[in-house]
Amino acid sequence: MAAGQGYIEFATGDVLTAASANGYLASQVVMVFASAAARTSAIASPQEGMISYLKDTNATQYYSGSTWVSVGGSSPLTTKGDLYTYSTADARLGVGTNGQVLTADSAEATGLKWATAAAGGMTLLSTTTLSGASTTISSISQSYKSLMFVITGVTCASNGQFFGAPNNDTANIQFAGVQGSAATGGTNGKVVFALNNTLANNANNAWTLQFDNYTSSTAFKPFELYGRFIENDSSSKPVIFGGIFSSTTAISSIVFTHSGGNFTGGTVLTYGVS
Amino acid sequence: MTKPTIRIHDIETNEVIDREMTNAEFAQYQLDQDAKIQRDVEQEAEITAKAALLDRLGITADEAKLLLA
Repeated sequence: MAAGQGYIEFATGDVLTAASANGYLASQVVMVFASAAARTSAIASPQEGMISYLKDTNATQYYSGSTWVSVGGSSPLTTKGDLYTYSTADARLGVGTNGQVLTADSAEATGLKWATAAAGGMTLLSTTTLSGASTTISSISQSYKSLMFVITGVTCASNGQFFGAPNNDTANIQFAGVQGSAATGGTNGKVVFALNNTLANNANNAWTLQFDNYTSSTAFKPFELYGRFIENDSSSKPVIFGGIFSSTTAISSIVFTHSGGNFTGGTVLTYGVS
Repeated sequence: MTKPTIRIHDIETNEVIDREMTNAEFAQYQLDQDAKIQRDVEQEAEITAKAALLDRLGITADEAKLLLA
């Protein structure tokens, strides 16, 4: 069969030869077969460019010269949630598990994978009860972006100030802010939670202290502090302080002290913030 | 003389140790306590001076705040 002869416009009076009918017509239409087997039986020597339709698979195929190839390619998708991707050929990426997100990954054949999203938010690292003349929280994880302490119910038998010293460093805290209605600031050396003495045996206080970039070994660490305490004249003193820990040492511990003497109460929740 | 105790909470192992201060820690503690006493004395003197001034002026603390507002 002389297949694939292209296009011809017959003129009036032309004789339609078998070769023309085969070459221009029969071999250049979409041939319909029940199946690939039926096609093989009917066309002993397929020619490049032939097109057929198989009723059993609803596939339209062309002959490449060596094999029948589906027009437009066949879909690799088989399952609910499948994604149509590509490596060196069309490929299927099965859906991930619930909650996973699609992630670019050049190590994967298709450059894509389903993966669990990186955890965010806050992780409670410890709960510490303040006790003694000082309480140190040590071996703080270096796996987070920020470090947060939520401090409540701090009590001491005598009036005094409440301090925190990251890495037990008492020389590198500088701050500014407001206590009560008064603006304040300066270099204190330690984080000072109350510029005036807290009232003895009074637990009606709470603070949040956060250091950002606390794992850095090259940069200073900004911090923010807010909360409220009862001063020794029984007045309520809200505080909002911000400042810097001007040390390039990563924070791995913090020491809490009270100038009134031993802690008689108080809880520190230590959080890692991602 | 018994020294004050301190608490150390290793949050990696969750081990809590309460122990007596070392000599160096106690020395620093005493310095801090001395500073606290000095600071309290200064604050008390400031409060007394303010009260004396208000008394001389014959006004209350709230009236003084009103004047300064």
